[in-house]
Amino acid sequence: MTSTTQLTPLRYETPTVTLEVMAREAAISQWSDRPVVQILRFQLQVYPLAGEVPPVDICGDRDEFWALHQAVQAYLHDHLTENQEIPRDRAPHAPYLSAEGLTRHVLHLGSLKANEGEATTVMLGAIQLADLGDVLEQLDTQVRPLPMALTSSVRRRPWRQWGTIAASVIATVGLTTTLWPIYQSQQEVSETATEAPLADQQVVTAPPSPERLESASPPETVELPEDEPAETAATTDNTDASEANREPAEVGPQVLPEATPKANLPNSASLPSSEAAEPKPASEPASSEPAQANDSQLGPPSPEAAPIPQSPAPSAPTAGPEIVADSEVGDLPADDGLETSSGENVAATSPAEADTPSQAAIAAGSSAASISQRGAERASEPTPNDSLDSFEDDTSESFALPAERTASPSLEAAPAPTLEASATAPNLATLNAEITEQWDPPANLDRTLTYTLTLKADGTLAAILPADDLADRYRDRAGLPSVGAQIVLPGGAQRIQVFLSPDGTVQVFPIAPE
Amino acid sequence: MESKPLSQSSTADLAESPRSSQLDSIKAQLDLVLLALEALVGLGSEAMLDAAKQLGLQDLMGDRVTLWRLRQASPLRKGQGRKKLDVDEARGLVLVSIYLTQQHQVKIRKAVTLLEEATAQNKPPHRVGLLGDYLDRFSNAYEERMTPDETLAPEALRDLALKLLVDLLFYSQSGGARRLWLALLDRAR
Repeated sequence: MTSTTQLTPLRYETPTVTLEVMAREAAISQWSDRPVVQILRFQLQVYPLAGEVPPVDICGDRDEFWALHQAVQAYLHDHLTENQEIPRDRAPHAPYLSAEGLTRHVLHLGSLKANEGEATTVMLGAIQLADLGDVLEQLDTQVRPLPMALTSSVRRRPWRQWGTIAASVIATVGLTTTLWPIYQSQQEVSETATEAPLADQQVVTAPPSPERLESASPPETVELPEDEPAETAATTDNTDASEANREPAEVGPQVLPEATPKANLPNSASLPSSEAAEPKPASEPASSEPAQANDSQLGPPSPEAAPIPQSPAPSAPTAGPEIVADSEVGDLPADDGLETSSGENVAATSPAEADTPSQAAIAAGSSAASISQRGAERASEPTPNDSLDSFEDDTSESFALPAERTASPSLEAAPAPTLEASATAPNLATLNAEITEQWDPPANLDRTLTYTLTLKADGTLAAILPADDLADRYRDRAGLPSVGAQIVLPGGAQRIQVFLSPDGTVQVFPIAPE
Repeated sequence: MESKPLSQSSTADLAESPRSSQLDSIKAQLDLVLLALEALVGLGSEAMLDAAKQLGLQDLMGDRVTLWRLRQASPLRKGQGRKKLDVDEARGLVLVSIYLTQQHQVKIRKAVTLLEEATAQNKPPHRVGLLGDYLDRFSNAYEERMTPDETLAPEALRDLALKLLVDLLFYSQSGGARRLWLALLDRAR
């Protein structure tokens, strides 16, 4: 397993060039003769040979460092072999160098920024270029920089695996205990069992055998249509789920407005409204917080819930009626559900596609975040299949799940999630848990560090903005995700505020778009 | 050694990095790198043998004759010297060359800095003391040791010398041995 561990500042100096990098050592270093590191940030300063001219300051993240590294090394090699052609296959905004005579070289910055200005090129003399190559070579000699990111999902793996195990155990025990009487009663009245659920929100037509419960496999699951979009929207890590990802994009905007007011209040922690539980201190274990936060954001159960203004509306009515029929459809082989659930979110976005409850459930299957919500909401409900479905999926993806699952027993009357909440809350909960895991407050830290995470439209982290100098100083030790990591669903929150307290508390809030 | 003046042409020619076919052979390139070092810092075969000793390469170049035979492998050399160079011998010459460039890095940096300034001021390099001496020594040694078939025009010889000078700078830095080795392999025709 590859995971990152500790942060290491590295500094290399030559007479005209200074390179500072903040690197995170990878666990795979144990297999290497040199530490394998992931460069998180770098700062390059190029000084003039003489004079009082201030140095050129170039900063960037891992990708930019690697692009610069490649450009310099390739150019030096070409220079020494007299290959003066500018590589044609370079990336559009990648930096590159070109010669301007024997001793002058032009560094074309591409996407790099020098002195935070608008300069697009930096002129380097032969000495400076040699020193630039030298510091990079020193770095390469001491450590082995990873040319690619260790994705956040990778970093989550330990969480996920343990979380999955914990969730599976809890789910198996809890559900078996809860459902066994139901199963028994269904056995007795098997003829009517399929019709009875019509009044309920969920229909279980073919109760799974105890063995299946044990194995946490999701047989025939019928879910409320209202849940479909919510579950789909909450899909976080399944980047392949194209349809599912589209839906959240529509839902996303709804989420922010609600979450925003609370988001700006560190201590009120995105706790919502009505039945919102008491705001939990962010210092609480991440395991319980996600569920709590989700619920608060989620609001009332979807069926009776306060009408949600937009997106979900179409699908709910459409799918609703079909639930009844789905009780029959529910007889579909359990394997179907399993196969689909392991893949993409097929039916989640389209009412037509979501016509069968089992499909709807399947669609939500791959979403770790949604699962976590459902786990919390439904653990107490006598609908074993839903939970089973969720748990099955968790074994492959869910990271935040264990937390919510653990919390679920206490949420007896937990409402079904609304679309808004499911779109971001699970992701933020996951983010919160992840940062909490990484955040190791320095002993001398005496105040809260605040960061604003800016996200791209696809939900990946675009930038980390420290609120002040202190936060900037501790930025690389804050355990924040790497730039480029997937944070929320596409269309989700565009900005997230993170508070790191000296006591180890971590609070994460979405910021409303302006 | 008599100094032979190089061309007085302007530095405009330097705007174009020279393409030196003389460097296309691994054996020739290794010999020329050492020649440039000799010309710049005035080192001789004793210094090279010392370096070989420091590097534990006595078996490859333990005395002047062995060293001379290795360098005679260059196809640019006069006479019918040894024409073969195996991988270990090439590696040995690379290591000795890099060792020496690093030993004399200060002077190499100074020379390149002067060259950079002269170029920026459009000043002929040979008019800069250190560079003028270097160019003269390099030119003389080249013409003295290389076969007449490889005679270069003064401008070309100057360009080759300056090109080698700048290369020495990069070879004198961290990873210089790797850079030289890769350059040798890449340039070999």
